[in-house]
Amino acid sequence: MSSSTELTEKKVFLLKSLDGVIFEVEESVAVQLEVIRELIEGDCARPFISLYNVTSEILALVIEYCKHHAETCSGGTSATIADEDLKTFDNEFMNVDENILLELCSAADYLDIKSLFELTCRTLASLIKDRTIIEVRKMFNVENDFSVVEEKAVRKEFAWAFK
Amino acid sequence: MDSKENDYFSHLPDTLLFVIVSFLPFKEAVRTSVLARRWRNIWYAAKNIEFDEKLFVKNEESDENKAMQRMSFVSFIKHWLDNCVETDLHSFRLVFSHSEHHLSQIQDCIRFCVDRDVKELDLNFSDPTWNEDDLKQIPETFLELSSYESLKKLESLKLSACNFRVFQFVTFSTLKNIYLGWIEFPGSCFKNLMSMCPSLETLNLKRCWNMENFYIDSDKLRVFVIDKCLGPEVIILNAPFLSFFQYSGPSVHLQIEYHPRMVEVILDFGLQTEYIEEGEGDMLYNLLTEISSVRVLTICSYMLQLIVTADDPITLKPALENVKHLILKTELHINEFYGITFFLKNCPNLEILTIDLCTRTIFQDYKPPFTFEEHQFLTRFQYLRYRSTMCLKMVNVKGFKGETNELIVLSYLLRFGSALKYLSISLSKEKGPNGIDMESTYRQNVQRLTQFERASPHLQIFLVTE
Repeated sequence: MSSSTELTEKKVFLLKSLDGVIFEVEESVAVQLEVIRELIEGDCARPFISLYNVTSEILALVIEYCKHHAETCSGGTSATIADEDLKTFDNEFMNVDENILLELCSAADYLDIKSLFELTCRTLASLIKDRTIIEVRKMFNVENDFSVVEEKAVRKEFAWAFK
Repeated sequence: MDSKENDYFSHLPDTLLFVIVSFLPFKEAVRTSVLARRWRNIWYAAKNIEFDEKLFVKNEESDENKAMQRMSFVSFIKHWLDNCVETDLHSFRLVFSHSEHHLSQIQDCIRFCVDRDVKELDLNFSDPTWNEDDLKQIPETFLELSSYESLKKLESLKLSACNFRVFQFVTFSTLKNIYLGWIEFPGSCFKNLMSMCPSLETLNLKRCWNMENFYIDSDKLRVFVIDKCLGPEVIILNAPFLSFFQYSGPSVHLQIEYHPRMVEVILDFGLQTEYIEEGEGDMLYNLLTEISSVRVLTICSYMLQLIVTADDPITLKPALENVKHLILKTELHINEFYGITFFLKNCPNLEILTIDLCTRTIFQDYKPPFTFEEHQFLTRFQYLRYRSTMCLKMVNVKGFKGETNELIVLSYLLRFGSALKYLSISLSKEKGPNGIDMESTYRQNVQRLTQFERASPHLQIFLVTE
């Protein structure tokens, strides 16, 4: 019965981040977060939705992403122009440091935003792809916990991949 | 803060790493195994599987060593089969010549992958030493692709040198791209292929043999390539959405329904070694009228020599008004000169001309219906300035030696090319008699070009080195 009274006005929802910051988002943006769509449909979205795994810094970025995608898709521009626009936006949006990128990826996974999840995973893969193992370790602070002997053994096992 | 906490990946579950790895090319995915202990087995989640023999087997090794290397290639494949946890794969590529001693393992591997709903399947059993220009060479193939039923989700299929039987009762409704190379492909197979792939957009046939005449009627096909295939004498195309068409091989009777979407066409009859008199010129003439919407056109020496025998060897109706880039695969033999003028006249809006020089089949015993005199090209054109020479912005010459005919053609283009901005030259790699290196001679000949009279004040001449 909740929807019938609210239909005339723009529906907004309140999202609360891990560190307690509350964001107000319109429904068109909120439903892109699959998790939230489920809560809305289950009528569990009031008074606000607590997102325990996402900091306010990341949530702000996620909302910016969803907002842009929602606006572009409903903006009435032709599909190809909208596609181009989204591509440009996505490229710029991914221009963040690696740590943020990983947090975004994890948040997109948790909030179940398929397009953002795929975008971040693809971007991470492309960062790994063009770098040597040593560079990847450095970039993501991966500690090499292999012993010298162990690492040698792995490299030997897949020698063809390291040529 | 200890270093473990700083590891950016440490907050992420393995399942997320699996997804990241699944976007990597196979080799890069395998390499992540050495990042750290946690990453040791993450790569098994790769979804773009690629087994390329070249990474294992080195050509310069002895046959005995190569056999050993092939064994380790096969055992790696087996290792992967035993450890793969993925239930759906995205693409699977296998490159393996001389696979005849490992057929059962290979079949297992293929079955394993197609059962996991691959969308892109690429199986290449051809031998890189095969000569694609030698049409007599018919390779021996061993593998039979079976289990068609499970291939129903395919979007792209590439097969080289394996046996491929097409049955009518299977429909690949999602299949968009097909490449078949070194495959026996009889007429009935072709018919079935077209009817069972209703969404086909790209069809690329290379060195297929035992083909028959065929007719394609498709409103989906966008790219069609027939490259050095054996058998067909007549090919008829009615494909309104076709934008790219290539035919390379011996001469065939080609008929293409006119459709305005055609953008690029390559017509290369370079493998035709005998001169056909009857009706050939008219067939070529009609073909050109049918593709008058193209913007990029590649033609061969055969076309340049034979177009003269058409009923109207002067004016093409309609002209190739849209052609902006013309590529000539020529030797600049005097027998081709008439054909060159024909195309300069009938491509009035030409902006780029590429002259791709190489030894071509010249039909010496064939006499054009005109008498060619030496330098006639030059003298004739003192009076003839075609519109195309006024639009032409760029001329590329590949395989330049600086022989007389090359200089004649270029001097003409420089003399009348009033809009010409760039002339780019790349030198021939051909050695002189007794294997003498000719590079310095060819270079000196480029110098001669700078002294030619030129109509364009803005012309720049480049020597392109690779």
